[in-house]
Amino acid sequence: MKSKTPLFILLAVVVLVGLWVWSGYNGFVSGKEKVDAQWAQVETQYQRRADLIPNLVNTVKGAAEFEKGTFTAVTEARTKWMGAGDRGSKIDAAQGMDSALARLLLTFENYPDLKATKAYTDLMAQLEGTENRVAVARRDFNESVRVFNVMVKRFPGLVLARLLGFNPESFFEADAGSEEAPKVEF
Amino acid sequence: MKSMFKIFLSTVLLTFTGTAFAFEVPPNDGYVTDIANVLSPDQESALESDLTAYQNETSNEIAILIVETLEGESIADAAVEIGRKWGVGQADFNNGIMIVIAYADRKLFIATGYGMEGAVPDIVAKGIIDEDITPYFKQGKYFEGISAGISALKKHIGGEYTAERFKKKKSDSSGAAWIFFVCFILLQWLSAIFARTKSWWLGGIVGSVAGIILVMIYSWWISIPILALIGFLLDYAVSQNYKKNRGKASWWAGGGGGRGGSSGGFGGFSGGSFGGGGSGGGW
Repeated sequence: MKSKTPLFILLAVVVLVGLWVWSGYNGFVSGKEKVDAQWAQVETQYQRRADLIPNLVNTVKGAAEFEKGTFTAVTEARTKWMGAGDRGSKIDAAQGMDSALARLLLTFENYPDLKATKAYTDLMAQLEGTENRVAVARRDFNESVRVFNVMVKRFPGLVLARLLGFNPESFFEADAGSEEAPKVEF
Repeated sequence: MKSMFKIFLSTVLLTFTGTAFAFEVPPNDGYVTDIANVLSPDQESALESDLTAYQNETSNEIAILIVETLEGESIADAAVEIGRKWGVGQADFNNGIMIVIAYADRKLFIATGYGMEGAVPDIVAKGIIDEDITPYFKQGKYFEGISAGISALKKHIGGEYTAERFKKKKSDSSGAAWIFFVCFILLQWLSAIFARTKSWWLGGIVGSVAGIILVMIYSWWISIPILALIGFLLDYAVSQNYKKNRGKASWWAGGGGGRGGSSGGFGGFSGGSFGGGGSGGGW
């Protein structure tokens, strides 16, 4: 009986390690899945905002003739977003769209007549809504990235993550300038 | 050993905490939570019963929070955060609406749950604030403004959700308390067995098995070593103790403990979530 104890312990260790790898792998997969799902949410909300841009341009074009340059910047940013492929370039494009839109909205301050129209206020309510949704989606995405990264970077998991090929994900940091600018005040 | 074990257990339990947020979300005391004391008790209970009846009829949950100030927090962010934390709306339909009023900031926000974004688009929320609520607020008639806002919301939501979709609310919404209760009973029961068996390692095995089950359900891989350790320590502790004073009842070997009283009246919200929909304004 006594001689069998080391064997028993060895078996227990092997089983525990096996379970650790198994559950660790599953944990990484579901963590990554969550990050991807939240990213899809970010994309949806940015898409929603991109879809509003032609509408916005049409509504204000007549009233704000002089801001041609700003209009083209916004339209270009939108085109860039539509064409962006991987997550990194999408984040870049999204930040570009944020700041171009912020500059355009700022120019409207000079057009009180425009601001008084119903079409304009409706559009602004919609834009503000996309802004809030983008903020929430971005925060949720960053939170899921944080959870995943903690899993991948903390000590025992770190070894396993390296072995299984799971790397930390990057956050979606808001552009330094665009953080508060797109907030539409009434 | 006894007290050390107690401390160990409570430390394990205390590690389950949520994420932090800049603005502290206050606890709710019903559909209407008036921390700033803007409404009279009569007015508050009138709104409360109106919203309760509305929930019973349609399953839609409209929650109102009136605070003094948000301490610089963006009201849109705060409304989403509060609505999520309280869980306003049915979990399956996210049909909740969170109205946050910051009295001293003179700002308000109507946040719509995911499932309400179709019935109450941002433009409609904006319109309700500008046309129904703030005209009253400007005159200092807060109760009238809130009532007008609620009836406008009801009108817009219309037949979108009906009682048919109403998920019967469970009589007990505090799941955590139940889990704790079950764990406690289980622990007592296992302790009684472990103490009587001669082995000092059985607890470790049982703990590991429980851990494996948890891993398969929730993939909390950490639960294996923790539960194995707890099981082992528990078995070791109770075995030692049982040997020492055989027959004498220890704190864990007694009868089951009673369950704490549940909250009266308001049963809590139903777990809906928010995604940033809605609109805000000031007065």
